[in-house]
Amino acid sequence: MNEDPSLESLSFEQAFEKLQTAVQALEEGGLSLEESIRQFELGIRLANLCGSLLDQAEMRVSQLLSDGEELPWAANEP
Amino acid sequence: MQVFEVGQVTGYIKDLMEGDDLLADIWIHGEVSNFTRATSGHLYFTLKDGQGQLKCVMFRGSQRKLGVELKNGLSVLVHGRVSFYEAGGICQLYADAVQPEGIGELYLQFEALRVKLEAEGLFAPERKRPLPKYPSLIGLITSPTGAAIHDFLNIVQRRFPLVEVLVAPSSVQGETAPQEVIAALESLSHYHRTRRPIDLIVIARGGGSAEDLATFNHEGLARAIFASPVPVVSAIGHETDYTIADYVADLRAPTPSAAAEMVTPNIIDCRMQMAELRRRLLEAMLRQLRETRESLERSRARMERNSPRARLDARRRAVDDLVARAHLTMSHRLQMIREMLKGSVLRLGALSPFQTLQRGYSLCENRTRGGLVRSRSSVDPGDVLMIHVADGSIRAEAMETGQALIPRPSMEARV
Repeated sequence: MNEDPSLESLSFEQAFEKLQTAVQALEEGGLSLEESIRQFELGIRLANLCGSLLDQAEMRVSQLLSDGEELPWAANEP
Repeated sequence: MQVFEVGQVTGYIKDLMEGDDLLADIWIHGEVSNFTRATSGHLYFTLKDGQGQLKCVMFRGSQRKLGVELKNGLSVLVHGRVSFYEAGGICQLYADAVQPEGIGELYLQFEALRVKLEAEGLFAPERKRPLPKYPSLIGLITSPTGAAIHDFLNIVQRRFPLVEVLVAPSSVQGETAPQEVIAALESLSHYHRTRRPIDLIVIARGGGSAEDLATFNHEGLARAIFASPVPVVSAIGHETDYTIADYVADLRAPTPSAAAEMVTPNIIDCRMQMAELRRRLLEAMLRQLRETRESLERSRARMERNSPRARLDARRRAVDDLVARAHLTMSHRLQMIREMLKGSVLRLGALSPFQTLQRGYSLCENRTRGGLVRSRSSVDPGDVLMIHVADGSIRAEAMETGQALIPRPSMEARV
């Protein structure tokens, strides 16, 4: 199976939704064995992606000024 | 003529009054008189003006919005519902909010705006937008120096650090606050449209007095919230009082901390859900593999019954059968042949020279020339002959040859 590079750029929510879709597709059955394996592999990769997103998560805070400029928040803390 | 019981009539009056929309939700301006506080904690008083008077009761459990200490002669605004007290036979106001006249004016303005915007559909439940379950970008409008921002960020960091927060600083109280909040909403909306989508916007204020809520009862701000392309959560920091902003927001949180909890999932739940999805994924795959294997087994069994090899096997078995049958046949035939041979031997026996010898014939061998003597020409006088008879042989010497004593039968006669 080819690595899908676009997978890595998914947000957690997108990856989570795709994972749910893959699980449902597999649970509903009716797929060919090949397609099932594809869905399974996709699901595992998405689960791994979600897991690493959760593990690596560090909240980012930035500030939007009235002129539309975006600054890191920490620099502006009093 | 129909006669009613008293209870039927009082019940009827009560139903009439409680079915009236105006009486069910009403603000009344009047002067307090006959004020008493019962030992139960309920408050009893009468509201009056130059025209009339109305008995009022404020139950112990409805006194959260008692905005003034009641005393006789005080001019107040009272909110509640007017109904009929059957046991006492009186019509009275069941109060749930009391405001002194001055602040009461603000409440009247608030109510007027609330009714107006509600009529326009700004609070309609069907226009409340759902919030994404897993937000990735949250816009936060609040004072950059207040407690609200720290409360909010701390809780978001703890619950769902995947999220990014974009703070649009704004004062949240004072004269200029409404316009600042509106401007912050607009710059976040612009950012949402031109840069990156924002999942939701939280307007937070970390507590304060009731008077300071004016910012959030501003009509312009209400309309800006309504117009926001991004769902808005109000977190005005006042547990009990609803502001106009609360009504128009897609979701109302009582405090900034509560807002942080409401707009983010808990990372622990996320991990549990991930584990559950992994389990389901694996289970579904294993089930499919099992089913495939079973169906493969069935197919193979079916194929083996019909495969060339199976046909070959079948032929091989047929050949074996034939061979077995052939063996059987052959042994029959061998038996027959054996029988035939036996008969032949018997017949051959009849032709044996020894049998002939028994009958008195003899066999003559020419020992000088070799070979059986079949003709007089095969013997010369002087040849040594061996004459075989049934019980032995006689050595002899040929003396002379002559004509046959017994005439040879013709070929025809032998056939």
